Order: sequence, then structure tokens, then C-alpha cells
Amino acid sequence: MKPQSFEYVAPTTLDEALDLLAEHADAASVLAGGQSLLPLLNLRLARPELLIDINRLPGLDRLELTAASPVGPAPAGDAGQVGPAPAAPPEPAPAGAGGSGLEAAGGVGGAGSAGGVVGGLRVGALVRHRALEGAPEPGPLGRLLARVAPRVGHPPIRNRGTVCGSLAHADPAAEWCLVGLAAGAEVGLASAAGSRRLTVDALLDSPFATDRRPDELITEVTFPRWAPAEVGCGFVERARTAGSFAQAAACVVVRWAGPGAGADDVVAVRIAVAGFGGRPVLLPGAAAALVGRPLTGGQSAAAAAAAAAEITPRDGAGPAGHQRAVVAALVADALDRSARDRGGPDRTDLNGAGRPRLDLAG
Amino acid sequence: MDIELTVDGRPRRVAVEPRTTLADALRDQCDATSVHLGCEQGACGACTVHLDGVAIRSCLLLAVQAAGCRVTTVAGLPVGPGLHPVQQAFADRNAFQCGFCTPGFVMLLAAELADAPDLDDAGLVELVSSNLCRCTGYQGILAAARDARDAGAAGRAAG
Repeated sequence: MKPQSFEYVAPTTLDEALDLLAEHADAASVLAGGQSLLPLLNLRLARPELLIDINRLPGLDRLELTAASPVGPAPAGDAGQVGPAPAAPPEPAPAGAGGSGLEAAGGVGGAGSAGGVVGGLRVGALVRHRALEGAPEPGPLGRLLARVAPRVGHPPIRNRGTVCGSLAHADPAAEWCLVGLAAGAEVGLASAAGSRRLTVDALLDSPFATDRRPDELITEVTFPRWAPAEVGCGFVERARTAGSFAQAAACVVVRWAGPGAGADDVVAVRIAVAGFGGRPVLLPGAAAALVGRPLTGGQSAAAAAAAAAEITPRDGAGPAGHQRAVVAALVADALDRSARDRGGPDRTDLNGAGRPRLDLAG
Repeated sequence: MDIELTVDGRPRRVAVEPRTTLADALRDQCDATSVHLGCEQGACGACTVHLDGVAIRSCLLLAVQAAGCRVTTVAGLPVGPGLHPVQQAFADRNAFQCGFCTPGFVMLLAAELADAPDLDDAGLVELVSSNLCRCTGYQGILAAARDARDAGAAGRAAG
């Protein structure tokens, strides 16, 4: 239960870190929060020759609002920094920021987000899970993140573990992979050769494998921020105990038409589920069935049935019929939660006990 | 590598390999044997200590990462006239059987109750589920956790 010997380096500039990654590539591992890597090292399942500790790189601990949405061209400039402990509601994004991309981004179940985007929330590579427990922005995204964060491990794990590290590790049951996929989040990857952006959908490959190249560092993940009146989110997971990885989980983002006639008509939906394959998956067929009418209990049930038919049951996870039934239950629950979440926080307990979460803001 | 850190208020300078976990450095080189190693993979919480005041698993941190930091173990918890309120509650409630898990539970609760002093009973159950007691003495631990929370609330009301 002790790691194999390795070299350790803690660079203090991003360029230095990227040069090390370029030089050592597969022989190196990146250490951020270490809450997945250290167990692998202790068990000798990971045996890197070099550990590159990025905890001393400046700026990566920032959690900040951006005017740019993660989808489409990204104009430079921040709407304002949130900081680790936001006290006051941040200023709204400039009118129209990201607005031109709404319709283009609003394709149902498409590659973009659910639309209704007013900006982004950039989560640097050293932002710990704990920082998201206090709703880092007042809208639907902040509520979603505040709801999800307490489901990631236990408090001492969340004090160290990072959101970006979770995405890089790509555990198929990890909450942030599922939520990043449902939300249409994008990661920023940097290397000595240049930088690029990938949606979480494009990043995730197979269990514990991503499209990150060995010389690349995930520097941040940017989630879209949505207009409060238009978007509601639902997240539900089943885990053996609090803090365990999910056995199965669902996350939905629903966008309604907003003010005017047909305000309650659903215009875009993203449904993602985890626990039924090597990575979380989107269910565009089930999502499409919800568009163009209000989200009622009957609509949720119909979409849940569509979702159950749409998944590919996983070997070794019980009878296929059981897996489909679990998906149906999770998706129906998540959709109902999104309707309750629209315009205000959903305070019901994740496991259905009706107990308010202690740490939800607002 | 030589690193300097503060352990329970005492400055320490230790030579460690990069692969040495903080837990091993504390136990083997800093005389902090209250830090117990159960699983060494972050599951049991017996090695929980405070790093700059924040509860962490010391088996999931390399000693070199703690360079320059302030580490507190159960032996270094700040006490007033008597024991720390969490320690006192554990003693009052006999919240231990073999005692192996106790330092981790005390450090977990000391940090989290400082952050969320009004945690409700259901929240305490979830919090206590962070660590493992292989004797399964959870009812005593929960009773102590409630006492510690209530003692904190009474202290604030009086003070």
C-alpha cells in the first residue's frame, strides 16, 4: 500500500508545466487534488515515473463568471470574478452576451447546450468540489452545481478533489462527467503546442480514458449559465451510501420558451444518464419527445419510457429490463425536478426522503 | 526532499521521499501516532487531519505537498480549560469501542462543525458516514456528534 518511487516536480508557471508534459507525456501523471490519483498510486495501479504537481500554478484556482458561453465563438473577457466564497450575487452578464448563439446552440439533443445561455462559469483546474457547494452563481446552473457537489465523495475528499481532475479521470460514474455532459460544458486543454477546447461529450471516451493527449493539461471547464426564467435542471442519483459513486444517475436541463404566448412550452432538452456504459450518454430521442409542449407528469413519463428504450444495457449490471426500469425512474424523477427547479430551487432530497438539503443556497 | 511544516504547533523539518504520504511522514517522522492508517486509499477516514484548518485524508496527500503548511492532529486540537468539545462529547458518550477510528472521527467533526455549527441530525448522519468504524459503534458516535453540536450552540448562546 505504498506508491512506487517517482520523481516529483511542482512547477510554478503554466509554461514550465506544459514543457514537462511535452517532454514526459505518458510517463508523467498530473497531480491536482489527488483524491483519485493517490489511491491509484498507493495501490500501485498507477506507476508514473514523474508526478507533475500543478497546485502551485497561478490562477488555476479561479472560479469566475464569463460573458462568453461555452458554445460557439468565445469572445475574450470576463464578466467578473466570483472568487472562492461569493458573498453578493454577481453582476448580470452584459445584455446580449452570448445571446446571438442561443438559437444555434439550442438544438434539441444536439452537440450544443440546451440554449437560453447568458454566459459561462469557468472552473479552474484547482477549484475543489467544495467550492461549488455554495451555489457559485444565482441562476439554474448555480443551483445545479450546488445540488451535485455534495454528492461527490465526503467532505474531506471534496476539500481536496477538483472538478477538472474528476473530468480528466473519467470514472464512468463520476457526477461531474454526467453533469458536464448534460450541461454542454467545455474543457480548455493546453499544451506546449497550443490550446484547444472540447465539449465534455467529445472529451469522454471510455472508462478512465479521455481524448486528452498525454502532453495536454485540462486547465478549466466552463459551464453555460442560463436565464433564470427559462431553464430548470434536475439531477438524481442512486448510490449505496452518501459519498459513494453513483450506481446510476440522471441529469436533465430543460429550457422553456419564456415570456409570451406558449411560455410553458419546452423548446430544448438535454437528458444524460450514467451507470449504463463506459461513459455517461446523452439520450436525444427521449429529449426530442418533450419539445413543443408543456412539461407535464404525463410528458415526463413518456420521455422516461423513451429513455428506457434508448439506452444500451450494460453487461454485468443486472437484467436489461431492470436497467431500463432504473433509467425510466431516474429520468422521470429528474424531469419532475427540473420543472420544480424552474424559477427556484428544488429542495427535495435526492433520495426522495423529502429532507431539505442543508447546503443549498437560496 | 527536505520539507518544513508545522505539526500541532511545532515546526518540523523532515526528509521525505516524494512518494511518502503525509500520513506516513506524520507517524514515522513527526511522532504523530494518533494518525491511524486503516485503508490507505481514502475510504476509511482514520487518518483525517487538518491541513491549514481544513479536514483532509492524510493518506491521500503527499508529504511534499504539505510543505509550508500547518497540520493539526487530534493531539494538537486547541483546547480550552478542558477537552475540545468534540473530544468531551466522545468521552461522555463512550463513542468508541476499540478506538482505532476515533482520532479520524474527532478531526472530521471538529472541522465540519466549525464550518456548519447548525447541521441537523440527518446532516450529521451523512457527515459521520464519511468515516468507517469497523466496530460499528455509530450510534455512540452520532450521539457524541449531536452533543458536540448542541454544546457549541449552547456556548454561542451563552457567550
